[in-house]
Amino acid sequence: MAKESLPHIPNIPTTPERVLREKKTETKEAKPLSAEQIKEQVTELFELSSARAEAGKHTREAWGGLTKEEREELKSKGEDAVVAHIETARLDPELVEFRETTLKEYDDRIAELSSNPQVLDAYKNRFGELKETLARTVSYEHLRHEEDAVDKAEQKLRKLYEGVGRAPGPIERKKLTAFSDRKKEVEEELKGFELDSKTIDMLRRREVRRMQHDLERYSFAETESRRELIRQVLPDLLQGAPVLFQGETGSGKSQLAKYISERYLGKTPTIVSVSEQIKESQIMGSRGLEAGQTVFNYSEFVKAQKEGRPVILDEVNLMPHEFAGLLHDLLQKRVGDVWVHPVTGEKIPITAPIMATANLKSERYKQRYELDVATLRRFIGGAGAREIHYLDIGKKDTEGNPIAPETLQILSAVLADRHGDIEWSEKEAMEKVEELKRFVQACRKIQEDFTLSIREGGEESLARGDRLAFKELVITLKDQIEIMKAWKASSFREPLDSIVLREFFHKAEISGRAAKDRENMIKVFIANKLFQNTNPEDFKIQGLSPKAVRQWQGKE
Amino acid sequence: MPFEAYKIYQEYEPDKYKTSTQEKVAKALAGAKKEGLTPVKESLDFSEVQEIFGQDFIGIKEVEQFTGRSLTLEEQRIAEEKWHKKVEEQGLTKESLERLKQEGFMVVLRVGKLAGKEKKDKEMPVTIKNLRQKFPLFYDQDWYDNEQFAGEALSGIDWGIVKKELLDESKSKNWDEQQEILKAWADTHGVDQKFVRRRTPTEVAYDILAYFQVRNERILEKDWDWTSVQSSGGRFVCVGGFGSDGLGVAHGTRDFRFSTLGVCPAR
Repeated sequence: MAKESLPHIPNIPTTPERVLREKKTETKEAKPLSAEQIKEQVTELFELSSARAEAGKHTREAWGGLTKEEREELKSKGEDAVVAHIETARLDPELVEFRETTLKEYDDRIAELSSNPQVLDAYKNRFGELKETLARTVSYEHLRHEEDAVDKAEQKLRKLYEGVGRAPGPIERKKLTAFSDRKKEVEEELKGFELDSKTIDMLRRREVRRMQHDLERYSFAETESRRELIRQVLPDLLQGAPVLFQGETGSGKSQLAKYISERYLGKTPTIVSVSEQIKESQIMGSRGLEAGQTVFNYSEFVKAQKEGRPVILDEVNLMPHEFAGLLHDLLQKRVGDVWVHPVTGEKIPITAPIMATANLKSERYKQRYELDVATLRRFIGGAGAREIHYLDIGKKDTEGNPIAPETLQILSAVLADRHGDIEWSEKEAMEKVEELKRFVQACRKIQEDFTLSIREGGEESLARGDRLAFKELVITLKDQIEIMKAWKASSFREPLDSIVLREFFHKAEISGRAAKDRENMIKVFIANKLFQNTNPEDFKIQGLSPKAVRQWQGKE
Repeated sequence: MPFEAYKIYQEYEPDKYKTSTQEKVAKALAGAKKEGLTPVKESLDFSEVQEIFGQDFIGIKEVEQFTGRSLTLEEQRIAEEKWHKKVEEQGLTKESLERLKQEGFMVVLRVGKLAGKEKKDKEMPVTIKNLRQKFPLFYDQDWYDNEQFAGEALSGIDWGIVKKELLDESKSKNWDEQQEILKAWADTHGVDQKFVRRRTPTEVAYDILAYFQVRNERILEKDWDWTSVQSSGGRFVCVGGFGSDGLGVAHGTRDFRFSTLGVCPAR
C-alpha cells in the first residue's frame, strides 16, 4: 500500500520533547555514545515515556482530577490554597506527595536522557517508524473490518429472504451482487498488503490489547471458535430469533449470551435465573394494589421485552414444563411481530431476542427437569440449540498431541501488560512458557475427563484407561484466569504450582466435598510435572494418601 | 527486555499474518524446486568467498582478534586446506555461496584454542566454560555449571557455513520436526542431507561471540538455536537470546515448541 494512502496520524511532539520544553531544557552536545549505548538509552526512554503516561494519570487522580495547568495555578496561589483544596476534595496528602514526586522523577530522568541530541534523534527516528507501522496496522485492520462488515451485511440480507421464503427480486439481486463484488475487492486488497515483521508485531499486540479490553469490559474473550459461533447465530438473533446455548458448567454459556447482547446487539440484557421453584409471576408479572387500585406489575422479563432488551434465561432446563409452555408463543416471534401479553392483552412489538442457557444433562441434574421437546424445537427453529464446550476440547496438532491455542491466547492477554508484554526476560520466558503450557495441558485433561464423565454418567466405575472420573468439580477458564492474575501479581516470583495450590485447592476447600475429584486433579497436575516436590499434607485433601502422592511424584 | 505475550500462542496460527518477505521466499523456493536448480561446478577462489560474504566472513584475521591469539602458519595452512575440502565435498560454487549469503548465512572459521583472560594466562580449549570465563557476555545462570556439554571443546580448526538467524519455518516446531525441516532444506539447496546439521552448544556460543566481538553486532538476539546435544536430564540444549543481559543457555524436552526456538542450518 502506498505511503500516501496511509491514515493520518497527527504530528504531535514526543514525550521527551514535551518534557524538555516544559523544563525549558535545551539539548546539549555530550560525549559521543556507542551504538549499543544509544540503543539502550532509547529503550529506557521508551519505557519511561510509556510509564510516564500512567504516572501522569495517577497524579491527576491523586489531585482530585486537576490537570497540570490547574495544579500550577493552584500552587501559585500559595500553600493555604493547596491545603484548602486537599481538605475540601478530601484528598490523601501523602498520596498527592508520592504521585507528584514520582512524576517529577520520571520527568527528570526523561530530560536527562533526552538532553543528549544523539539519544533524542534516535528516539524520534524510532518513534517515527512506530507511527508508520501504526498507520499500516490500522489500514490493515480497517480492511479486515470492512471484509467482516460486508460479509455480515450480505448474510443478513440473505437471511431476510430466507425468513420470508421469497427469492430476491432484480434490485435486491443487484445489491447482493454488489456485496459479493466488494468482498472480492477487499480480499484482493488484503492479499496485496505489504506486511512486514514490525506491522505483524503491532497487529499481534493490538490483538492482545483487544482481548484484555474485552475481558475487562465483558468478562469474555472472543477467540476464533467463539467468533465462528457468533457469526453463525448473529444473523438470526438480529431477526429476533431465540437461541439456546447448552454446555458443561463453567463453559461460558451465560457470559457468551451476555457478550453477544452487549457487544453485538448493543443492549444490556435482563438475566432471569431459572430454578425449579420459579413462579408464573416471575415470567409474566403479577397483580398488585397501587393507591387502592388493582394494577398489573410486569415482570423483569416482560419489561425487557417492552424496552427492546434481550432476555437471558439462565439454566432454562430447570424450568417446570407447565411454565415452559408460557414461552412457546413468544419464542416464535421475530422482529416486526407483535406479542400479545396473555393477561393484560397489551401488544408488545418484538425488537430483541431471547437467549437461554442449559447445563448439559449430568448425574447432578438427572433428577431435575430436562428441557421439553416442544421448547427445544422452538430454539432449533430459531438461531439454534448450540452446544458450548470448554475451549480447545478435542483440538490436536498434526501429530495428534492435544493443544490449547485459544486458552493460551486468553491467558497470555491476562499475563500481559497494556503494551502486550509480559515481564519475563528472554531467558526466563522459555521456562515460564513451558510451565504455563503444562498447567494448561493439565487443566484441559481435567475438563476433558469431566466432560466425558458427565456425558456418561459420572460414575466412579467409569474411570478407565488414563481417563479419570470427575463428578462435580472442574477447573474452568475463569479459575485459570484467576490463577494467572495471582501469578502476575506475584511478579512471577512464586512457582506456578504454589499459586495453583493457594488460589484453587485451598480456596475450594469445602470440608471434604469433592475430595475424590480434587485427588484426581492432583494426579493430573503431577502427571504434567507440576507439584513435583509438594508435600502431600499441603494439598489439604481429606483421605488423600501421602504414599499415593509420593508414588505419582515418582518418589516411591 | 520484556517478552511479547503473543509469542505464547502464535505458533498455532502460523498463516494468520505473513510478511511479504516470507511470501517471496516461499515463492522463490517453490520456483527453485520446480526448476531443479543444481550447482554449477567452477573453481572457487578463496578471496572470492571473502568478497561474497563481506561482513559475514569471519576468517583468520577476525578469529585472531576474537580469540586473542595469532594462528601459526601450520594452522593457517590447515584452515585453507579444510576450506578447499569443504568446497569439494559439498560441491560449493560461487552461485551457491551467493545464494547462501542472500539467505543470511555467514562463514566462520572455528579454532580449538583461546588465549587466556590475562596475558600471563595459558591458552585454553574453546568450551562454553572457558568462553564464559574469557568474555563477560553470558547471562547469569548456574544450572549448566556441572553439565558435561559446558566442558566439551571444539575439535580443532574447521569452517562453518551457518545461518546467522533461525530458519523461519523451524520456529515453533518440536525437535524432531526441525530435523525434518533440516532435511527438506538440504534437498531444496541441492546438498546431501549428511552435510546439513545442527551445531553443538560450544559452536553456537563461539559463532555468536566471535561475530559480536569483531562486528559489534548481536546475532540471535531474541531467538534460540536448538542444538544436537542433550543435557544430563535428556533435554536438548539451546543457546541464544543474546540480548543486552547476555548470552543464554537453556534446554527443552524434544516435544517442546516455542516461537523463538528454532534451528540455524549449519554445513
